[in-house]
Amino acid sequence: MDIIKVSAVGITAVFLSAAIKKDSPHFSLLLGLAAGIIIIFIIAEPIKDVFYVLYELSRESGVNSAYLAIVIKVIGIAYISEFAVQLSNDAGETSIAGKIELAGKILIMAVSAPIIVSLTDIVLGLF
Amino acid sequence: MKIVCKMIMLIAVFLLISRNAYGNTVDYYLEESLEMSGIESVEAQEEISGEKMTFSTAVRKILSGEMDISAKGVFDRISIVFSKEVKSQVGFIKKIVIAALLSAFLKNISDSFKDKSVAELSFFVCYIVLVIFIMSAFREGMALVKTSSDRILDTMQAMLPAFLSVVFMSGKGGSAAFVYPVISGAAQLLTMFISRIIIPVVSAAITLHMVNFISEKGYLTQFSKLLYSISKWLLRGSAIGFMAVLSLYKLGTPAINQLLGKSAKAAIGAIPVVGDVMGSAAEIVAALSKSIGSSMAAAAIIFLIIMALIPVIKLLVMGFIFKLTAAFAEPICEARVIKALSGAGDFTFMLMGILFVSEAIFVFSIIILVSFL
Repeated sequence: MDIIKVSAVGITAVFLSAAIKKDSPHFSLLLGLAAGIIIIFIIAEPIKDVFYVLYELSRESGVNSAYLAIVIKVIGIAYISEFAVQLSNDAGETSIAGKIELAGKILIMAVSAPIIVSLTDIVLGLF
Repeated sequence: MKIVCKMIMLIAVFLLISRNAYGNTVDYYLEESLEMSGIESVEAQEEISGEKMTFSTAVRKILSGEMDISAKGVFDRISIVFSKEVKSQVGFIKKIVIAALLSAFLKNISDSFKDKSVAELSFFVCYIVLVIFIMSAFREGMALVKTSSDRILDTMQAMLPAFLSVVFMSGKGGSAAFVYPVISGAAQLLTMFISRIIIPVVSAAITLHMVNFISEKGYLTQFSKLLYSISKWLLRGSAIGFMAVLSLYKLGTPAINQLLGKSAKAAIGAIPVVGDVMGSAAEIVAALSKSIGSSMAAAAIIFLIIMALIPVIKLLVMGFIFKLTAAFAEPICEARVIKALSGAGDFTFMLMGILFVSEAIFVFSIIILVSFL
């Protein structure tokens, strides 16, 4: 089961990180990054299944697929930026973490611009 | 002797100069006697078969018995239209549910994030997608109300010459000449008030209501509630205004059908926003309803009701869908999404109230006008 794999990778990384943190903190950080990437690869398949179900539901109900694509991109940007922010905070680089967070917000706004334009058109169409 | 001779001459005249007498057919009555040129341009869509129907077609169908206007017949027609409308809105239900599921999914992900700001922004995007679906449906509903109100106004303006010609033929043109300008002017003024003022206020109110829930703090809650109250009271004010116009017409009828009045009042009282106000109008009109002897008046009222029936049922189903989706999504979605859905339902019911007031104004106007017959 995937949760066992994820838990095993996470616990192993925690123990190894704890063991080498005192002597080599930068390797500890790299270990945390590697564990995170491995976990993402493990859950990639189930996430793909979830998004496929959402895509099928939206196709059946007539929802514009562009909206769903934008929402999925936004979710991806949110998660990746959160991952990077946490890693930076763990390394003690709070300023870099803040920059990554800002970049994430700007990219989300840029990706969601078509949705905001659609909403504006609909609202103006009411008057 | 003279009297006998006169009697014999009279009988001879009747026997020798006899002619056949013919009654006018319905077609002659509709096409030759009445001013029907305007109303024939207006069509209503028959709700079951979907065919277009003109006013003269409606009169012929009522007279021939093809259109069942009994209580059971009306109930059956409404049931068929309601079920057809629910089936056609299934796609809309799916859209709303999917958008609500996406927002719940995102909310669950964001709860696991340490830093909420990026996750909050992504929830904001999901919420906007939901708002787009809701506002698209609401825009269709608003266009439906505007179109239906305009068509009812056009139909009324086209019907009035025909009714006036009937009233004048009955010899009671004096009274009708006084009441007609008052009722007609009031009805048109109120319809313009609804389309130029009330509907834009409702549009602004729902826009603010949706925008309010983008943020958790809800900075526009009081403002959106204020606009909702204003639009509700404007609508009730227009209904009360028309009631005041009705009260100008003094009732000389000694007997009021209490049972019919109470039943009509109870039924109309169930209409959202304006039900309690229009219920009193129903009592006044019920007193006059017994004077609806002409099939033309019945056909006019039925024609107007057919024109408004489908839009009213569409709005009822749409509002019901919003409320039902809010109820079912409450366990999984955030409170903001549920409040947005529930508010959309309230505003849709208000649109239904607007359409009902427009329809009632004209139906009551026709009943009062025909009461002179």
